[in-house]
Amino acid sequence: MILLETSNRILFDEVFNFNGEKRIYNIFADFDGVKFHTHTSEDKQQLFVSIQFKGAADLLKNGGQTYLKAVYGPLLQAKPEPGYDITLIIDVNAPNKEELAHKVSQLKRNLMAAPFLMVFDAIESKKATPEIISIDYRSDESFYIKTQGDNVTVIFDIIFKDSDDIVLSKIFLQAFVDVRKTLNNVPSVSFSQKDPPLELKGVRGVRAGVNHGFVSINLFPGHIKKAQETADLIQTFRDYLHYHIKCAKGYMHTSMRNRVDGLLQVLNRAKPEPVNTVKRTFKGKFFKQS
Amino acid sequence: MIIRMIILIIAATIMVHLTTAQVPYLNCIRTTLTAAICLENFASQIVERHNKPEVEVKTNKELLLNPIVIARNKQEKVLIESSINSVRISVSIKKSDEVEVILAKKFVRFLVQRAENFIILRRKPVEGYDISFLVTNFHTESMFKHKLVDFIIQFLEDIDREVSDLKITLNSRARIVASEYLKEYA
Repeated sequence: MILLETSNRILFDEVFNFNGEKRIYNIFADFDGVKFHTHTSEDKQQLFVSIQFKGAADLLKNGGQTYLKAVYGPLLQAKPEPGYDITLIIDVNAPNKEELAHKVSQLKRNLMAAPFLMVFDAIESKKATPEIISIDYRSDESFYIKTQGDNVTVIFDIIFKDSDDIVLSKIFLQAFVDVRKTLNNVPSVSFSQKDPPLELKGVRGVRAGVNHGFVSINLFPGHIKKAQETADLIQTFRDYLHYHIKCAKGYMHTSMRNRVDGLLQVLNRAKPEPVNTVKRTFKGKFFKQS
Repeated sequence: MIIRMIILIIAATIMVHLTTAQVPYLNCIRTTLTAAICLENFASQIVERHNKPEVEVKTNKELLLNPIVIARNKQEKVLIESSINSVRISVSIKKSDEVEVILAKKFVRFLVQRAENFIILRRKPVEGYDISFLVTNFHTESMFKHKLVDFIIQFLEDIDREVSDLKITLNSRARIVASEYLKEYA
């Protein structure tokens, strides 16, 4: 499976297997520093699902609140649990468990997708949109959504801590730019290292530096029509890129390991075989020669 | 059938040609090493009961030979320093772009971490080089000299091949990754 899933497997299992018999208390993580917390109420009849996410405030402001309300309806709590950003409460008798579990497991996806869907919707219905939406979703990374006519440009500010990763990311991002030319109906991709692209000129709080990479993905009307699918894909971009950079490094590691083993064998061939002959006397007694 | 054979022959000659470019360089190193690894046991003249590789301690000028540099180009070169009881071989690997720099760095680090097993490997390279070997008279006493030379030659071949192989796979991986992702939008 080369593309990443948008739903959270653990969350799906938690909700799907929730039957009011066992006490549940779990904390687990997802991409982008997301923390999920699930626990049952005192009488085990309700399951609380909470999410903690750095970008939640920005996302809720930019269409998140309305979209989550539309998707989760009465499940969504007005006041989240302390220390978390959003809380859903699931009743043990809720009908259609599988569908519900699926819906809840998409919590992070729906939250991330909200601003995209809001912008796409506004363009479709020719409503005015905020010119630029910036979402500060990781400790030092952000993404920006900018509308230009009926196109949408999504700009990711991606940070690489390791200097080797900067080099590798350059290769991968360059491949995105190159491959794009051979395919039809795909968004245009461009990237710049160090300096933010022109679209971000005058936007406040844009970080820049040697280890920052800016990737702009320009979505065309065709993509905006397929709003849900596009939102799914665009929000996994950063994780997808990082995932494959790590895979590439893993591959290099195993390949080098094999090569080193081969070399070691060559060196060991230089050592002469130990001579171990047993010589016997006439009567059959022997002594070892070393 | 004939056409296929011709293509095969052309492909084979190209392959041979690619490797032949390196052959004179490696041959030169092989002959130099064979001549240089001519070592005898030699205890220190300065400190009693010490037996150190003279090429490392460099306490007596008369025990050292002139160092030799065999270079293919500015980056690809080998420095051979010999002395009465030891030879130090330092290798600089070709690095044509920043990807090759990190690949070479990774590979060298991999080897150095296993220096214990690689008996003749020096943990720290000589300045200006990527990796160094130190062959002493004790190594030549316990191992075949021609096989030791073989190893160094093999090492030079392998490191080049590994770096270029990895670079190719990295680029093709990046292409696949990018096209799989972008295809989903279409």
